[in-house]
Amino acid sequence: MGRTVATFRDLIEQELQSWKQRFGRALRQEEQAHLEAMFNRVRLYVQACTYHFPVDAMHGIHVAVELDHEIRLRKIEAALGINLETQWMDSRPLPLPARDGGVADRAEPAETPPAD
Amino acid sequence: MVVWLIEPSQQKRRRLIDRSFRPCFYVQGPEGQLARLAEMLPARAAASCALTERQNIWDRRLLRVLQVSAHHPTLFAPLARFVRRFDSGLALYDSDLMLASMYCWEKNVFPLAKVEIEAGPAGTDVVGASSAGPGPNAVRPYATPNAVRPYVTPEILTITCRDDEWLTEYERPPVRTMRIRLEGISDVNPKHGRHGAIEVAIENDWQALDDSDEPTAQVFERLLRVHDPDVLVTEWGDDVLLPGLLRQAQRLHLRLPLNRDALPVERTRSRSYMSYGRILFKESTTTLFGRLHIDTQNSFGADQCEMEGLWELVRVTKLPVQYACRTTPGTGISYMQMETAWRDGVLIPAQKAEPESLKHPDELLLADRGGLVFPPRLGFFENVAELDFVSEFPSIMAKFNISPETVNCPCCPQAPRVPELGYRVCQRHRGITSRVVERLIAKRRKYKELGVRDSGLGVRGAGQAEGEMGRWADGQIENDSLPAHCPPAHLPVPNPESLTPNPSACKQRRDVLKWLLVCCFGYTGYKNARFGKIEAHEAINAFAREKLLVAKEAAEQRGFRVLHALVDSIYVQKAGAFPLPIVDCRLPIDPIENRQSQFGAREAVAEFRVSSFEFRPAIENRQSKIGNCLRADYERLAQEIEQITGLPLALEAVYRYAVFLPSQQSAEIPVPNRFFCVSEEGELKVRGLECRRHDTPPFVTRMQREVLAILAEARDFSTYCDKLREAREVYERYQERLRDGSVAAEELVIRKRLTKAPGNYQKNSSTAIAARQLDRAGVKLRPGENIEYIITDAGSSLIDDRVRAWTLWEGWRGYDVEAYGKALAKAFEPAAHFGRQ
Repeated sequence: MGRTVATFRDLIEQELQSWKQRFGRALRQEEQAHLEAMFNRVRLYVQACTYHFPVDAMHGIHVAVELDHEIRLRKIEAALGINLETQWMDSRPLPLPARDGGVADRAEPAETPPAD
Repeated sequence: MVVWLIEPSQQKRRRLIDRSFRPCFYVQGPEGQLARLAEMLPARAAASCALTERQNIWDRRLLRVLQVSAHHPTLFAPLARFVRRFDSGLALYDSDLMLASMYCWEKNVFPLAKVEIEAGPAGTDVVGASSAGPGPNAVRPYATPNAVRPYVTPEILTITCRDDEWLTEYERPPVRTMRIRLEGISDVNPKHGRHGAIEVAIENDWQALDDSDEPTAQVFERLLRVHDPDVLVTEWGDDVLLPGLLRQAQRLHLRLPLNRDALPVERTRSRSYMSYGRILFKESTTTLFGRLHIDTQNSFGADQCEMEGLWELVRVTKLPVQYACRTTPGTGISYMQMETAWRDGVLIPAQKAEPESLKHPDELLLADRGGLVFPPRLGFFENVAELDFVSEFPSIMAKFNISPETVNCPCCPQAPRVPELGYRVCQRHRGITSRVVERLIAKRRKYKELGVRDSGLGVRGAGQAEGEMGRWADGQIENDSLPAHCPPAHLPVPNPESLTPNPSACKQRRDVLKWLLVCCFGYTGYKNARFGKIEAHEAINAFAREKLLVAKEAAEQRGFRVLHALVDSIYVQKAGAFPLPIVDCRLPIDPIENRQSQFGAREAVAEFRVSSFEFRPAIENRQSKIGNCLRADYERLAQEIEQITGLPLALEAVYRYAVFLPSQQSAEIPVPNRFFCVSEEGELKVRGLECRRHDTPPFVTRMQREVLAILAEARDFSTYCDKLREAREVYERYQERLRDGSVAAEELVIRKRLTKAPGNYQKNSSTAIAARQLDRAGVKLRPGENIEYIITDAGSSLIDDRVRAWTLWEGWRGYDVEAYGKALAKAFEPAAHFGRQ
């Protein structure tokens, strides 16, 4: 109201609309809802975005989304009682894709045949 | 200048004239032009000119200006017009000020003040020469020629104020009040077809004016003559009642003495205008001479702050009563600033003269921001405290000397910088705005103390920071605060018992001062404010953000959890006592699936709540331990933050519980202004719910208030859930009443503001349909006006049957049970959102 510069809340909405137009159109329907939800969750950290106010709003949005993922990841870890950090330097090969396009569990390394 | 007085000893109303008042304005320009003007003006009109020096507000330089004094107030505006036409390149100062206010400044009086007058013999006055009209926009500022006739009026020789506008305990004006209204729902505009008898009350004794025996205007004229009221308080008097009575009196060839003068009643036109993106409508006005007319439906002050507030507003702003009640507090604060400037010998520009300074786009991005708002944590929280910075923005203005002329002043290149923005603030001169707000803050605090003392409660919040504020000027800055107009020794000794305002009066007066303070901040950024400067506005916001962050950090360092923060208030919970909220937000396993997306995806809802029922016993134990010391903890925190920030901070309340609700569009997104809390004393604080909205039908508002009142009896989450069962019964009862048709139609009226003319609506919204109905019925509607309607059949294929304008509604049309049922359900949802049954 009465401002020259749009508020960050308005900018989130503008960016969402802009990304929905082309990026969102090419997503599957079940993915589209996630895009909107991801932008909506930036509103949880809008005060930090407002205070920092980057020249490009997407920089603030990216950091907010990543921070949100970090927080939620930690909550999931806590809820499940696991600590993903123990696998930090795991050098085993990347997981193989599952048959239906999902992500399969990490493949166990094949047992090394006993040396003769 | 005509002055009306009440003589308390004889209960007489006297009309006096002050011929010594010679208002003046200043002209700046090339010396040659000023010399020509100085020759020309005295030859053409009763005016005198003299070259003098006055100060420029922005750089404090002395400017050589021509002072033009009008020998009669009625010549003031024509003289200014003449100078403007003479040479449009000349700069005019003080030329469009209200004469009544200028008179008050010059004579050190104010409306409703106690004065002592030395009067001369009665002289002959030409009625119509007075210009103490209610405002600059009058259609007929002066009397029509046929109204000019001799009038015997004593002359004021000296006028001395025996009052002080900054007193908190003063005598209310001994006025006789008459109230006038139209029977029926008071908020519905009679112009929209509302009919009913006129009701008149003297001393709260209402009587309907029956027009079966004699015309209403005749009965009213008799009442007016017998009771001779000083104040007419009306509902819709400006646009409907008084003009209607005058028309009827004219038809009957009856003289209706609304004015005590023989002058004709003054009227201004109605208008629609835009403000902050909203279209607003201002009714026409009807103002009187010798009597005060206050229309509560067309008055900001009377509507928001009632009569005590209005009297207070008039005393501090020195605006004429009838003008003050019809204008915004912004005008009041502007006039207070102008008075300070006028007393300092500073030139007052006719319009805003200071454009925004050039900025780099990056600087604009940084500067053009408001206060910080932390979205709340969603859920039901127990033992929450609200800490409020008391009048934060005005306090910042006073403490940090932020005023339009002090920000980036040319005299202090080495001054300390405003956080984030790097603006400088003057260290040598005290700003005009800072001085004005300082006095308002002090008076508001006194009222707060008076109100609290009378209600028997302890004073909340320490005044330490305000004490510091008072010492701000020490050593560095010249202390040139407003001169006391009336030395205390001259003041009459009041009887403290009779003059002390009761808590309700204190609150009304406090509220009006609050409005003034709020507008004072807003006006620094207002494009038309004479003393506006956007950099001052930005500096205040920057300080506010800084202080809120400091408060947040201080609270967190001391082990408190910040649940919500809203520009100048912060909601905290003692961490450790309650490690988790009793019920945290509804966290779906996959939040996406919990709502209808804009893309239309709706999937099975799986709900999972973080519940603390498992560790409830632990909470109970801890609660009993901390119990009493909790409030003390919060008070200590408030004091510490106050010390760190240097701004006054009060522990506004400790809430038994607070419920922060999500957005209505998305169950996981918090919104800053949708919550309710119950204080330790059981008082409810509600924000953003249906009962706070103006467009909610009274029936729904009542249901929500009843439900919340029941929930306010709860102490914690388990009793909340118990009470919720009780509340649901109330809700069901309301639904039942709706279904059996026993709800009075008045309770279902929905009130909406028109955003455009009825013919310009493209879609068939309820408001558009009702507006078109009224338009067809011959009601002239303008954008910004409010209209009322009832939903009759929201789903009807016939558009016109969906809603009916209230004044055109007939009983057989009934109402839409389903639509109102949904409204009830929507209003009950916030109570049940986090509840467990």
